[in-house]
Amino acid sequence: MKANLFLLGAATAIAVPLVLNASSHREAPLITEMPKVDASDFYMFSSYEAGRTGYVTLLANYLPLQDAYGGPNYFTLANDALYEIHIDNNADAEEDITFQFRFNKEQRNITLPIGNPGSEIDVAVPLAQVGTVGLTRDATATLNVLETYSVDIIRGDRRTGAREAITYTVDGSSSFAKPVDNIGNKTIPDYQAYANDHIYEVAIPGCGDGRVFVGQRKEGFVVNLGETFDLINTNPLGANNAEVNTLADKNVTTLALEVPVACLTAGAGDIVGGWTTASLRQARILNPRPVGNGTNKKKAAIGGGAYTQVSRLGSPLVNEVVIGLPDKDRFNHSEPKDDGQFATYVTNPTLPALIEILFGVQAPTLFPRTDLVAAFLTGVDTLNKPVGVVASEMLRLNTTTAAVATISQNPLGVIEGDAAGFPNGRRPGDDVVDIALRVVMGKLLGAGDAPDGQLAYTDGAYVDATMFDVSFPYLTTPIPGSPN
Amino acid sequence: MKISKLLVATALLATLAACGGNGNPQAVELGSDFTSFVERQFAATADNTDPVSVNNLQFRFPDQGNPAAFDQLL
Repeated sequence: MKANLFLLGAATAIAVPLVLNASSHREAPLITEMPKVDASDFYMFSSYEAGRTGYVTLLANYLPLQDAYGGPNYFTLANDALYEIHIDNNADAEEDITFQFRFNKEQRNITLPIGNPGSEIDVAVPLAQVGTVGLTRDATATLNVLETYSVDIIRGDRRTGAREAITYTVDGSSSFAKPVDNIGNKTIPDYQAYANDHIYEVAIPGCGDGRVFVGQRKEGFVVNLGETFDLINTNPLGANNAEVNTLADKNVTTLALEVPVACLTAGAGDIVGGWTTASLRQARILNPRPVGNGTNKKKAAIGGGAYTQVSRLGSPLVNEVVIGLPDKDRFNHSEPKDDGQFATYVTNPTLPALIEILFGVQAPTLFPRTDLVAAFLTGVDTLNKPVGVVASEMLRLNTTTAAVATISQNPLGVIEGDAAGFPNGRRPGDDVVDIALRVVMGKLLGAGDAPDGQLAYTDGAYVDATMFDVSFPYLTTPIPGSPN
Repeated sequence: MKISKLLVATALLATLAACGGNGNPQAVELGSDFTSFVERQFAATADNTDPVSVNNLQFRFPDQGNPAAFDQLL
């Protein structure tokens, strides 16, 4: 009885965040305190937009769980952070290519003359905008805060490798505009057109042309979050569309890149691994007397020291479904080459046991779980497992697998015969929650090792590719903050 | 005094060194003065530096009541 109570307690503390704190939203203790650098989802897939054969799309989502009405500051990214997408193209568990994003926020301090006629005083307004925003990225006159960013490609080590700037093909600029968030329909009457004007055709040194976009999108992750947090208070064997997607009213910020396949593979092999990280300066000081105006501005907080990784995300749900609570921060701060330290969580996973306790189904009996090693650490034989791979957690994509058009994609991906879906990369329409549930319960094992492994586990929140755009950046226009 | 302490709040984002993979941690003495440690970090902000391991440090906090302790860095 005591043991059962302990296990149930563990289920409360661990299982829930596991399965479903969305893909990777607030999944580790420290990252809950720094949402601007919280990586929540990472997608990597062969572009399936018409006419884009030969390209790979990379999407890294940050700053999750945005309520569209969250003004007046909305959801700017961190100026003092490095946001990065890493590619391992020779299977040694170390980055060979890094796309590094840095952001800059300009606070313009727009003022209005306030006072009696003839004796007005210019007073700074408290809002992010003072009028309607135009449809183009240059129509910024009414915006009080402007965000721009740069993207470098780094070959070799992310900190010491060879760095080159990605530039706009039209004018050679290395500074790109990030659209203001979707404040509402009065401020931005046509947000879709406005945001689309922030998609840049870019020149990637050594790679040819690509595209880049950074901006707010409607949250693409689909999950029955509330009932899952409540001890998975739903029927995991019910219909796959019987429950509510509790993230349906949220936005997120997406860093999107489209890159030629040859840029990523670089002649080293057809299978690439990818993951995203965010890093902050190691030390931070809060300023007791910030100065936001005048010639001697002082920030409210400043950072110093080396960049220190605080967020990591490759395959979805790993730091939730696999990594135990004591090691979640450690995982976020780790690099794939050191993943041997987490091996026990994969070979002897707790999630299936917790599901068994909660629902009475039988968890797989095979140990070590070699099927999960393939799913999480090496790639799947004959599909996306590189020759000589060093076991490590990242999202792996076989770039020779032909992209599948939106209408033909199966949201259950590889386990239902769609080889272009998760875990061979990940597309927005892949139902990674249902896939993960099925795989951890033994979908890839025989009945002798997984008696209930062929059941159709689901969180009941449905997703498929038709719920997304058919062109870059695929994730859809964000929900406006108004009208409500 | 209490307010001052709050205002001076400093945060060392340092769980990291435990991350087991960021290269060659610099040698830092035990019993490190927190203020001095932070000052040293700010003096080493090159983009190609590695984070400093802090797992074996025992910090002393001599400036808990001094809201001006880090003014020179602001």
